[in-house]
Amino acid sequence: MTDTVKALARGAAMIAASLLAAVFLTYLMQQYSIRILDERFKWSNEIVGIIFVCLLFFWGPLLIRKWLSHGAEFIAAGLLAAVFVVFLLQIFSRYVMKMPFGWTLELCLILWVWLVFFGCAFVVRQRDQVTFDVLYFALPKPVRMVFGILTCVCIVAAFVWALVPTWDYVDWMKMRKTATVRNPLDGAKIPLRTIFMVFMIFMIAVIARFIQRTIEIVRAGPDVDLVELETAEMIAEEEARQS
Amino acid sequence: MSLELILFLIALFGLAAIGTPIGYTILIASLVYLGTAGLDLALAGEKILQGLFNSFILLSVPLFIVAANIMNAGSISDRLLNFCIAMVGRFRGGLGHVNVLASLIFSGMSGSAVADAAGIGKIIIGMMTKEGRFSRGYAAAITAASATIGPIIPPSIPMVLYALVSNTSIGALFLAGIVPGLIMGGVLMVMNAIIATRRGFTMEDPVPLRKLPKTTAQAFPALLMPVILLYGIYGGVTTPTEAAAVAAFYALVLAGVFYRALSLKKLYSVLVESARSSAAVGVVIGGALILNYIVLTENIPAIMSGFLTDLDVHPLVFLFGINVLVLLLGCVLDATTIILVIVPLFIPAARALGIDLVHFGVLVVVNSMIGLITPPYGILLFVINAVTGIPLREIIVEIWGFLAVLVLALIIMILSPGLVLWLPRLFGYAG
Repeated sequence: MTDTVKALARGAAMIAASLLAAVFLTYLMQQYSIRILDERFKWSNEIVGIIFVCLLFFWGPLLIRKWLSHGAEFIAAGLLAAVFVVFLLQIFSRYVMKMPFGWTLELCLILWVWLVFFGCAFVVRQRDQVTFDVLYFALPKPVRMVFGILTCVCIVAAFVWALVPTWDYVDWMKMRKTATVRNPLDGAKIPLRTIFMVFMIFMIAVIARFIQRTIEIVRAGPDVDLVELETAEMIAEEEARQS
Repeated sequence: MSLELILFLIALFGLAAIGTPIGYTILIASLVYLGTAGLDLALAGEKILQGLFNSFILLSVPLFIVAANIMNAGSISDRLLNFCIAMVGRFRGGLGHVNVLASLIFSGMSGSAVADAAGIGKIIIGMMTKEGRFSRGYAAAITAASATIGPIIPPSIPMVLYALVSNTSIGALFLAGIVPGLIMGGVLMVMNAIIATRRGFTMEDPVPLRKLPKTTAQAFPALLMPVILLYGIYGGVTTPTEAAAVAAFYALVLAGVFYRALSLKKLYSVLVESARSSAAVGVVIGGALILNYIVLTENIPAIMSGFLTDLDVHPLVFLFGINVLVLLLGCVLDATTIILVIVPLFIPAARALGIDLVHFGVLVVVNSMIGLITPPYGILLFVINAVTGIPLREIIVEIWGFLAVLVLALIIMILSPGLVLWLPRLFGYAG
């Protein structure tokens, strides 16, 4: 079984690698046609596009799970590091340069809003949530199963219910702009809609996450997190033993 | 009481009881409220977004979390322990005293009790139980009890949260925590000394005096951290929020450059873990912001303080009542929820009764920290159980004595506002 999976994975990786090579080759040809022949191959862009889509479809399912969780962790850690660095910049500019940057505070607040909602959407696991679980864990398994599903259904229903009105509000916030922070690309002030967009991402991600969780609970019972936790602990112990 | 408020409360308590994460619970309940009251559902999202986007002091929460995690990852805790052993290890019940002293110092750096227990607490439990010098339960119990000091002595995440809901000065709150923290450390050490003499616990071999300078020198940069923080805040160099960034930066320099105990890989995992906890706390804070909106719309604080004024309760009776309530709630809820959700209901009443809000804040924070070690639901007990594998039952048997002296310390603080407010007043707090 595992051998088949390995072989499949190897095959997929090879196909993906050759597709990647094809993209690169096409790109080189395109550059060549523009710079040396002085007459651009008309088909090159389409080819790159098509190959790229193939690549995504091929590689996607293999990597997407890993990418999603690792990439999200990376982004969240980056946001936090950015809050930290911008804060230090603020102190530095005020006390060392005696010339405070105006934009640091607002940038920190933007990063903080993003950290909270991006984090809750993609990085916070069920067991990281602040939860009142004394009662929950004292209950027999079938009751916990019902409660677990009820939780998911309530969250999904409420978020779907609020989705459109909230979008109206977020969209309307395009009228208001940041006070000091400017878009580094064009120097314009950023509409709050762009910043608050993360809340919409959060809502949609939470809806998707709890639909998925409902399915998990129905399939694997109410203790899916505990199983996950135990595996994580076992892996950690194993690693500790090896090192 | 309006229909929408009743439905709101049913949804709030019902969902929380069946194990829905608190942040989402508040969000859903407030949607129920807004929907039945015929208000715009978007108000929920608006309150959260605007609240998080406009409150500067909240920025210190993720940064204090980062600082605490760096200190635990970067062997700063180990060096502090060596210093503490050299100082108080020679007395009877030595490692017990070391435990309390280490918590006192470490609490001047991290803002969170859980970080204390999981970091320095884990190391010291290992030392205490080695060669059977202390029973496992006793080692775990004194560690849990002394970790409660963490958020009392500044910096403190719970106090930041209290400052947010009560509009009091973080600087004054931080200063007001120092004396109570020392009192708590004091009563724990007395308790440890009594138990140690009665049960004949061992003491450590005295560390020779000539070794003392070296141990101190190694720990010195870490010992400097609280001083830098307090100087930064009260010397007017940084705001309390910026102090959090300075704390994290100082910890990073210490661990990374000075002690060379923090690799890039470790730093990355520290950041990921901190981001995770910050986001989880952030959504509860967000929930508290909508909750406050609803509480204000329904005019609950005014009703409550009117009710209390009609009853003509004495401020002390009120304080004792609130403290008993928080203590009881602390058995089932965690500190963040108590401070953000329950406490705001009583702040206007406290103000109307002429109770100083900084004094009130310190009491509430101390109290909810005691809640962290109160069985059956004490997060610190769970954390220690999780990181050391010591059975909860053994910890709980030993915790009662420490719990009792901490409650005693709390009663002293309730009765003497002057003691709590002495330091802030010295620095010009007019209250």
